[in-house]
Amino acid sequence: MSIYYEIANRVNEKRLFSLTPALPGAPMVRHIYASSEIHRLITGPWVNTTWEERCGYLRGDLDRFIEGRVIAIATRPYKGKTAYMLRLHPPREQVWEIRSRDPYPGIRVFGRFADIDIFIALTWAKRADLAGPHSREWRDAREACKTEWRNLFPAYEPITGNGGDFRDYISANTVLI
Amino acid sequence: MTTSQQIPFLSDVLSGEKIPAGKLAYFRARLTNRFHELFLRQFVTLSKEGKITRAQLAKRIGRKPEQLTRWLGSPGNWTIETFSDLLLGMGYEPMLFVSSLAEGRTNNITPPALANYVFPTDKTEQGSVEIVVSTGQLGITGSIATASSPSESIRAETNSALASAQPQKDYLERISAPQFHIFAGPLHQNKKLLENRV
Repeated sequence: MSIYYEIANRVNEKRLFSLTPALPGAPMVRHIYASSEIHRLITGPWVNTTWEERCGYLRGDLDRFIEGRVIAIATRPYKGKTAYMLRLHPPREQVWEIRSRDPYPGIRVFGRFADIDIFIALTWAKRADLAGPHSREWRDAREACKTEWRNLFPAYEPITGNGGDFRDYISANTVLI
Repeated sequence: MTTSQQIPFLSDVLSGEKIPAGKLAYFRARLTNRFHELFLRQFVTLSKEGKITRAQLAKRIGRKPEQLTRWLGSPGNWTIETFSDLLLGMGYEPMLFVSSLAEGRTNNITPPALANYVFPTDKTEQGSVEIVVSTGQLGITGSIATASSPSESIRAETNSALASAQPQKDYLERISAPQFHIFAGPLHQNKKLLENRV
């Protein structure tokens, strides 16, 4: 058994969804497996057209990851605030966020890496609801992500980079800021 | 009111009906991200070669280095003007052409040697777009070619045409292709091509 087997099981159970690029034929270089709540953001239904529009931007941002395009990664927590992706503090928890910053409200997608270039997107939040960097809301967001991971993969841990090398998580087309 | 997407992604884009807000937003995000990626690639390439630093680029375009650092992270509230400034600060300008979503994809048709030299022409006809491609350090190279099946044949036809091309002659290629392609070309190399086109 491997975590790949588990991912396939979760997909069959419809507890995870493989996100594919919206455009037919677009390259699929990296992989995002999304929880049902994130999948709903992408596919709807949406409460109104404003939220549908916001989620359209989010999908465009997620496709940037999936299509293997160049992304900026913040190397340290609380730094590189505009980076596309960041590993949250504390690093040992291996909780990452993908930032869909624009337009307002910014959306944060939280998840963990099952393997290199395989991101399990588990939970999300509006940035405005997370308050300051050391807030209880941030802690709760990290905990919710970890809990969701444990529910899906009780026998597996996310990958941990050796020596903090970000290429252990994303193999190519990254810019560290 | 709730809205949802249960149909193939492009179906309502191609149907001629009103395009849903989510689709409009998706393509806006996609274009912005591609602009940003282009800038990022170009900057990283030049900075690795020691040709420019964040501070130098910021100074050239009248911005603070910390602003440039933010733009390296994400496009944020970029405008077209911002993108132009950033490329110009590195000595480049964007080259664009549009393509039809209905006709399939061509994202793999641009060989690296051509990627920096794609120009829109003023000879566009309905349903197709003509682009001018020039290559190499020796000036403009090319001949005229038509691709009937862009996703399959453009690379081959491009290479074939270039192989038999005459120096200083524009390479014209008629395509019906699917997306918005953006490239950056060195200004000093593009200048001659632009002069020839006038």
